[in-house]
Amino acid sequence: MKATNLNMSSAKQEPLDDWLQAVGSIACQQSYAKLFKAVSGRVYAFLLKQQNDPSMAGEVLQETMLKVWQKAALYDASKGTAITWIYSVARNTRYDYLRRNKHQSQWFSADDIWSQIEPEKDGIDEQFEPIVAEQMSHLIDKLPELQSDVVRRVYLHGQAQQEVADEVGVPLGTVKSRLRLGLRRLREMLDEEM
Amino acid sequence: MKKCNHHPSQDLLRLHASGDADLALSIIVSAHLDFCPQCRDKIADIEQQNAEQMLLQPETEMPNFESMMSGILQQQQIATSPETKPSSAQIVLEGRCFDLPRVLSRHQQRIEAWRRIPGKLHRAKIPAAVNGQLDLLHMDTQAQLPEHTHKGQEYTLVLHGEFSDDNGVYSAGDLLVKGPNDSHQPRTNTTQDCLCLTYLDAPLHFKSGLASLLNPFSQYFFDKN
Ligand SMILES: [Zn+2]
Repeated sequence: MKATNLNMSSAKQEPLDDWLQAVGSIACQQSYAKLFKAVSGRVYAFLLKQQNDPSMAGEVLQETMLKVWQKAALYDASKGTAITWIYSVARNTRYDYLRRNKHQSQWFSADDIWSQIEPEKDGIDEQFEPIVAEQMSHLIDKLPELQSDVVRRVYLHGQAQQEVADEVGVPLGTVKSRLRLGLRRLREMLDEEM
Repeated sequence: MKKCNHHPSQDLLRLHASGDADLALSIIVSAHLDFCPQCRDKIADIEQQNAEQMLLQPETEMPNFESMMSGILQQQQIATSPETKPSSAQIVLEGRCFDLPRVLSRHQQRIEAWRRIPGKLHRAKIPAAVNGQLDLLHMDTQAQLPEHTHKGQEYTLVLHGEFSDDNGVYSAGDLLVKGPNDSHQPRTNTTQDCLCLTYLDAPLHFKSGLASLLNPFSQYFFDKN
């Protein structure tokens, strides 16, 4: 158990997000190599765990890592961590691979099923913004301390998520997940008030 | 947006997020997610947990990692713009337009023609299911399906309008799952029609006296090509 925890913390401290962004923005081969070394063995093991078929796992891994190289520009760090994005690429690749292998019709693809849903823009009228900000600030106070801190920094003070991670001294992924949990709780509170 | 009251089970969400659900079921879940921010959050959670699981795996070496990587680096990157949102697509029935769920929006032309079935109903088949049948089912106002049971599971996702059965009212986004022994009789009221996405993984069986005459014709409701 201890070994597992150590393993996780070391993996989590690897700046996967930075590497993936460098691959996406400037096609950085060194960053890709680092990313490949850090994740491909784990993706491969994960695929094997789902289905003990080395040739399938090998092909899906190859296709996944190729997409990671080719499509890295689609990664949006504001929406989640690099590993979650890589996970979804691997899942989609595996899904299409398995259907192709069973000769199932291919006109539906994993990309249809898991297409991104853009969050709806809140149509808040500008004149109401101060009032809304005031009300939101009360609700934010009701969040658990760790979440409210992150939400306040990002949404009220406009700090970048990486900056928050550095100042608070936690990995970027932690900031993202606190933010996500916090926003969800806020939405629930808003629903309850209505 | 109105809140959904009937959601996919946690198991079904997990299967979907893990890429282990049948295509037809994943299409149903995906269409539910169009309506339901709560389930979108749950899916995001499961994806994150799975991703963390993936990161926890022991690094397993494959003999050809090095050559795989150098092969990949020789490929051109694909000039990608963030995928353009599929423009919303609609389907027309007797002059009325209905929005299709996002998951179907690129495949409008694959949906088969509407067929009229007894009881103010129309059905259009979506040829995507491997085991079973995926359909759009439209119930006009004051329509009623004969009381029936099923041999397998029946999934009904409301896309537009509402219908009711003895247990409640179901409106846009609601997913109703009925097992083999659940008998029910969906109906619409006098003012509101209803469009559903339905998936049956085994034939319907009609119960009551006269309706049981429909059993030989249940291919109207359920047929395998
Ligand atoms: Zn839901």
